[in-house]
Order: sequence, then structure tokens, then C-alpha cells
Amino acid sequence: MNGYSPVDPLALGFPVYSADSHVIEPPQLWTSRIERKFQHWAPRVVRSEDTELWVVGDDIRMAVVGIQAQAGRRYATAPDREKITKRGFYRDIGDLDPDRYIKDLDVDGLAGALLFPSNAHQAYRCVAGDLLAAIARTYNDWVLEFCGTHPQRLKAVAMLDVDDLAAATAELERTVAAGATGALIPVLPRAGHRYDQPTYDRLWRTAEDLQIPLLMHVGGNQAVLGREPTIDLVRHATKDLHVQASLAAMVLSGVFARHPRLRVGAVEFGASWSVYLMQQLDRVYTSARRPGSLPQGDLPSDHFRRNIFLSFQEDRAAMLWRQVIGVHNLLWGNDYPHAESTFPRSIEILRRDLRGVAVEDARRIAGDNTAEIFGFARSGQ
Amino acid sequence: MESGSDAVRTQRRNGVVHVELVRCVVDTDLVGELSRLVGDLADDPSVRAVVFHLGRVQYGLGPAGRLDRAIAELGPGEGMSVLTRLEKVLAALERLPRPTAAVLEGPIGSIGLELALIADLTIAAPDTVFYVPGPERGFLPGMSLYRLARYVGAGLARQIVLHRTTVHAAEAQRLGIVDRIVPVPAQALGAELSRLLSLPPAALNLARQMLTEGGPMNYAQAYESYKAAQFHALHRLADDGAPDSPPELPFSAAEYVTAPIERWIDRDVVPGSPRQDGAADAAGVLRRLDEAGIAGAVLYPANVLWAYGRLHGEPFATLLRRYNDWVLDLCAGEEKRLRPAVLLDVDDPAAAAAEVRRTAAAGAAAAVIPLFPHNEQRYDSPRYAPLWSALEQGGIPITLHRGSCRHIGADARPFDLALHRLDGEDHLFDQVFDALEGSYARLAVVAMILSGVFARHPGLNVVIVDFGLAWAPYSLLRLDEQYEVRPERAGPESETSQLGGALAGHSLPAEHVGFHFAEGERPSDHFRRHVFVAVDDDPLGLELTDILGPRNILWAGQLSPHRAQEPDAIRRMRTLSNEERITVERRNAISLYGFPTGGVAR
Repeated sequence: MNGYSPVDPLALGFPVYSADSHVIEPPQLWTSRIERKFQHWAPRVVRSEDTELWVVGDDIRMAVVGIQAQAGRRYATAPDREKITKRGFYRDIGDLDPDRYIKDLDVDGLAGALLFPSNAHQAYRCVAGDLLAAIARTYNDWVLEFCGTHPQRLKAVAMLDVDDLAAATAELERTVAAGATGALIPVLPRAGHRYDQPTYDRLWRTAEDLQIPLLMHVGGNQAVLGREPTIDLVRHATKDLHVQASLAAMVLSGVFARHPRLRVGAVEFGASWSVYLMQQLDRVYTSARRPGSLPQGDLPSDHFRRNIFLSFQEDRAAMLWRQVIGVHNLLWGNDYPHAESTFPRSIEILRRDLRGVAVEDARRIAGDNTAEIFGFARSGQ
Repeated sequence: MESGSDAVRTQRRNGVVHVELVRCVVDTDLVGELSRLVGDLADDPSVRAVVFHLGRVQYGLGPAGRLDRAIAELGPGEGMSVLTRLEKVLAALERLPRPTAAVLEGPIGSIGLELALIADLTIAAPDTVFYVPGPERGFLPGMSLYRLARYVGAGLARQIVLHRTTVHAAEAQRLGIVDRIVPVPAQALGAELSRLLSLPPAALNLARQMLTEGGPMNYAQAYESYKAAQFHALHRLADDGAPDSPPELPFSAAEYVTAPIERWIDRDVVPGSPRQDGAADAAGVLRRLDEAGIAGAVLYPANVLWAYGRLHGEPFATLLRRYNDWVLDLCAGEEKRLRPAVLLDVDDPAAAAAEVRRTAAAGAAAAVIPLFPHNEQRYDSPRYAPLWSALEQGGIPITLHRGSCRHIGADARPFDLALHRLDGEDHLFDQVFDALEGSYARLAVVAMILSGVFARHPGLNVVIVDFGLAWAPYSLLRLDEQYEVRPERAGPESETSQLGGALAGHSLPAEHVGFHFAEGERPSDHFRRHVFVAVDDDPLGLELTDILGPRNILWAGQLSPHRAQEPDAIRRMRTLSNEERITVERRNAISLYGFPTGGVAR
């Protein structure tokens, strides 16, 4: 992202943290680091026609190189405007190292960022079993090293394979000990499984004990195993429905009643949908004829507000409804360096979307909530 | 001797009690203080006179409407109580056997006018302006209308109250409301009051009584009339949330009728307990509308929509046709008030188009299509073009109604709702589906918008019924964001869904194969032009009318079963302005369903 100048890190009067940013995995990440027995099936970059692709396993397409590194293009104007496209090549992306990342944080006016993968979580959809677990472990080791170079400004999210819950809890413990401050789980687990099932209690309990939030990110979905990612615009304009269904199942079945300290984050789905979902969950729960799974007097919306937080990029409706959603549940993110990113205009966009929002609420939404949950230094510290 | 509170400060000098009103808000505190004060004065023979001071500093009018809100927020019960007590205070002062005076400066609100009208002596500064409260507040300005009419005559009082609302000091003096205008009223008070006090007390009191009780309507009669009118006004304010109801009755975008399906279908097919809460004939529907104060309604079946999720083929199409014939017949002759919605089977779009043409000729005003159609044939598919054309030509809006999904069962998974139904009874799945059912309506309109249906059919409209309003703001933001940021994804699903699994040659779909909006146009523009949401009341949704406003909202009187069973199920939009409510409750329904624009005879 050359050609941009740093922005005053306190342009809004307080430090801004992104709860949703991404690393771009180097092309040889898995082929160079994964255990030998998985090397043949490991994620790798191949060239096809006019683009490079990530493939995995038996040449299953995992992701397309290109769209992951087009931050800023959406704001370009003619005649310089380059079309946003899925297609692209690693040679055009440039440096992938942590120092370059820090420079772009400065350009965007950010104090720090929570880092998700760009490609690793696409493997949820493509492969399973030992291979998926090995892909996750390899990614986790690498991203922890990446963030370890700037521990005050970069925090790592580890990726968990939830098909084997014993292994998942062990990996959660291992990565948290190594510095991970959040853990990625599929938005929806594999077909035939749901997060309301008691088998997942083991994972919930471990996350609760470690006080580590579990995160569901756009695109990390196991339930559509083997299918092409939803590249259709209609599906993209409604893809929050997956996370709504998953969270609804967790809330209504009493996962958060059994694990009151568990925190789950819905990342990059926006936030204002939660108002309608809470309305509907309360309606369904209070009109049910059979006894509910929640403690006497509790409503689903109580658990939603207590245990679930939401990251968004641009959601003016959520700012207007912030008291309904809960100011402490709203976390802004820039989605850098993906095409949807607010980079390099994050401060300008935050200023626009936070107009009329009390400064103490703005401070929470744009930084302090993320700092508090993921261990960055809060403003005033 | 001095005493005081937040509302009133009193000072006694030489037997004259000076009462300073600290703030202008007529509320429980002020009235309570005045009530205590008047009681004390009546019992104290040493009091020679009472003077009220309303100064510009202490008695600024404050933010416009503060007074209105203070009373309105109390609700009809307490509001009426406060206003009644205030009138008792004023009536007691009016009859107090001692002279009373009012000293006024600057802007004067309703209680200042009341005091000026009852005082024996009113002295005002030249900049005094009376703000006479008119009916815009939604309740009456106390008994001041009665007193004002007595002072100035009914015609002039009407002019002041309805058309001007302000009276400056000089005019007030001409009208007899103010006795003296002097630069510093407090300085002139002593001399003027001495003159009053020098009059024989008994004669003075008699003269005041004659003046107070005289006139064509005595005070007691006027007071009873006032109480009845005020009580009515405050109740309307509380019920409607706005000073005045729309001048005409609302149209309801959804009321329900119970069809005689037992005559048409084997009882074994009918699910457990479909709604039976609708009327079964026109007279029953009209009775309900009259009781609820509804001018007219679009009618839906209380007990047929379940068929969308359970029946197929000819039995399904036959049931829908029979219902359509029945509801068209029910509404025949009552077109001004009853507008039928017909039910369409879209599995065969050509047959659905034919049913639209057939029923349109017989008076159909709306057409239900399933929330989600059969076989994942989303509404962006070109197969529906003949149906859209028939609806557009017939001027019949589409309805997407709760409870009309096709094939939501054990083996159905439309558009990757992706929460799997487990074997056996799965109440959690049913609950999640119930909570997310509105997503299918959202998916339907998103698919239509992003595939350009409304660009090709500019006369087509969609009404979404019984899912509330709060789902809409996010949906609009998401539509625009995705289109703006990722236009390369635009395209019908049929061209991209083949790409699953292992990919021979890793080929990618062509980009930019879908609908592209005109320069400067966004998907949400199509939503705002063509999509309407029918709700009974949704305070949270109505908070964000900047994002989706009254132009896209319809009022529906009778929605979900659990609400319809409540005796007070008829709710009205509480937070909208009068103008917005007229749009929501009448204009949109008139425009979409062809209800008559004038009043409807009941």
C-alpha cells in the first residue's frame, strides 16, 4: 500500500484498534512448515489462467489470490481506478512481513490490530481430519511468530479444528500459552453437528477457563463442505444468516447458561442484524409451550448481550442502536488488507459513522472494547 | 418572612404575600406548592392581598414545548389530576376574598395568562408577550379559553387561540387582560395595590363574584364541560402518541379470514391447529373493522398458508384456487373496504401468471407468493419473468407473508440456512427457523433487487407482512456495501453454483455476468422504490426511519396469532408524526391496494 502517509494515531482523541484485520499467508507457508506426512496435501499456490489459486488436498480450490490484497481500491477514482477482482498474483502484493504491516497500521491511524488469516480458515470448507488439524497448527505457529515481532500492536487469533474436541482444547491451551488472544472456530460446524450439542461443552469450558474469546469469522464455514465459497452476490448480501443461525442455536439451547463466562465474537458480519435477532429470539422463547433452557427470568437477549460481541466495519444502524445491542459488544475492525477494507480511510470513516455518538461510547467501540477483550493497552494506560 | 421551593418562592411584606413562580412547567411540584399556598391564604385573616410575580429571568418560557411534554408525559390519569388541581387553585384564587394581582415581564406562558385573567390587577412591562397555548399541544390550555372568551368575546378569543397564539402587552391592555403597562412593573405595584386595598372589602368581594359568575355559561357549567373535554384530549394523546389522530381512519394491510377448508380438503392433511381466529364472512370482517376503527383491510387466510410447506402438485394448486374464489366472493360488493389477497403456486410460473390474470379480473388486490419457492429456485431466476409481468400489468403487489415457505422440512435446506435438523423431534431447529423465518423474505427481495427484477418491472411492488421492521436497516446497508465493494460477484446463482468440489483445471466463472445498476443508483434505491414492510408496531424499527422511512411502511392491524388473541391487539404507530402516520396508515395502502381516498362510510 505504497504512497500513503501516516495518520495521527490519536486523531479521534483516543487509540483505535481493529478487531478484524488479516495477515496474508506466504505462498510457501504450509509446504515449507507442515509435517512431512501432510506435505503432498498441504495448501499450495498454483497458477491457473489469469490468476493464482490456493488449492489443498486433492486439488480442491481453497481461495483465489488477489481480492485479499486490494485495500484502498474501492476508494480510487477514474482514471487510476483498478477494478476489484478475485484474481491476482503474489508478485503484485509486495512485502508480507510484520514491519510492513506496522507501517500500514500507521498509515491507517491504528494503534493495533487483531489478526485473522486470509486463507487458512478457507480450509474448513475443503478438508477435514488430521490434515485440517495440521493446517491449523502450522498456521498458528506462523501467525504467533508474526505477531510476536510487535506484541503490543499485533495480536494473533489461533485457528481450531473442532471436529476433534480433545485436540481442539489442547491446541487452544497451547496457542493461548504462546500468546494467542482469540481462537477461530467455524461459523457452523460440519454437517450433522451443531454448537448446541453437549459434545462441544468441553471446548466451551476450556475457553471459559482460559478467558479466551471464540471467534466466528465470515468465510470460515464447515457446513458447506466441498462447495464453492459463496461467490454469488445474493448469498454475500445475506451471509450473516449463517452466524445468526449458529448463535441462535447456542443461545436458545442454553450454552451461555451453562457457560456464563464464555464469550463468542461474530466477526465481519456487521452488527445491526443483532437487534432483530434478539427481538425474534425473545419472541420465540417466550411463546414456546415447553419450558426453556435458560434460567428462570432470563431471556435469550440477556445471554446474547452478555456473551456475544460483534465486529463491523461500516454499520451506521448499529451506532444508532448501540444501546440496544450494548456499547460494550460493538468492536470496530478495518478488514485490512482485503478489498472491503476501510484502509486507508479508517479514521475518516469512523468519524463519519460515530457522529452523534457520545465520546465515551465512541472510545469503547473504536478501541477500548477490542483492547479489553484481546489484551491491547487501553486508552489512558 | 420568606419561604421557597424549586417551583415557587413566597415573601410576605406588610400583609401582602408575594408569590414568585420560579419555573414555567406546570407539573406536580408547582401545582402542589400553589395548592398548599392557597389553602394557607384562605385560612389566614392577616393576609391583605396576594401578588404573583412572573419575571423574564425566573420565568423564561424555556425550550418550546417543555410545558406540553411535562403534562403529556404524565399520561391521562396523572395529567388530568394535575390539571384539575391547578384549576382548583385558580378557582380558589378567583374567589379569594382578598385582592389579587399579577406582575408580568417578558414572555408569558399558559399559567401566566391564567393568573392575568383571574387577578384583580395586572401590571405588565412593555415587552410582555402572552403565548396563548392553542390546540397543537393535544390537550386544552386549562380553563383559560373559557376565561379568555369571557374577557375578549368568543370571536376574538378564537382568532387568538387558533390563528395567532401571541398577544403583546399593548393589545392585552386594549383587551382588558392587562391594566397597566409600565417599564418597571414592581415599582408601580405599591400605588396600584393601595388603591384596591382602599376599597370597601365587602363591596369589592361582591363585585368580583358578580364578574366571575356572570356570563352566558356559569362557571360550574363551564368547568364540567372543560373537565370532560380535557379528559378526552389527554386520553387521545396517550392512546395515539400524537396530538391529533389522522383525520380519517387507517387502512390495515393485513386482517385475517377463516376459510371453510374442511369443505375442500381431507382433514387428515390439515396440520394440528392452524389459526382459526379470523372472521368467516364479510359481515364478520366488517364488524371487526368497525369495532377496531379501521377503514378497510387487505384480507389473508388464517388457515391456509400452511399448505405452502406441505402440499404439492394438483392438490396444492386446487386448494389455492378454491381459497382464491372464496375470498374474492367474500369481498365482492365490499370493494371499498375489503381487498382480497390471493394465493399463488409458483412451482409453475406460467400457471401462476394465468391465475394472476384470472383473479385480477375478479378483484384481487394482492398476491401471496411463497417466502421461499420450491427446489431452491430463487426469485432471481429468470423463470419467474412471466409472473412478474402479469403482476405488474394487473397492478397487483406481491405479498411475502410469514408461514409460507415451501418445503421447510426434514430434508429441506434452502439457501444454506445450514442449521441441520437432527433426527427425530428437533424443537431447537424449529425455534431457530421460527426466529429466522424473516430471512427468507429478505432473501427474496435481495435476490429480486440484485438480479434487476425491478429494473425490468418498474411497476412491480413487494409487501413483506408480519416480520417487523428491525430486520430492514441492516439489510439495506449490506445490499449497498456488497454491491459497491464487490460488484464482481453480481450474477445469478445458476452461473456460479456448479463450481463445487475438486476443480478440473481450476477454471473460474466469468465475472460481471449479473445485473448492474445505472450510474449513481444503488440496490437500496430499488428497495425503497418497490419494497414495503407491513407492521403493527415496532418501536425499535421505527427509531431508524432515517434508513427506512414511512414511505416504505404499512400499518397492519392484526398480525401474529399470539397478538391477535389479545383484546387490545390493535396498536398504532406511536412514535410517528401525524404526517408520517397518515402516510403509513392511509396513503401507502391507498396507493398499493386501491382503497378509496375519501372517507369510508361505516
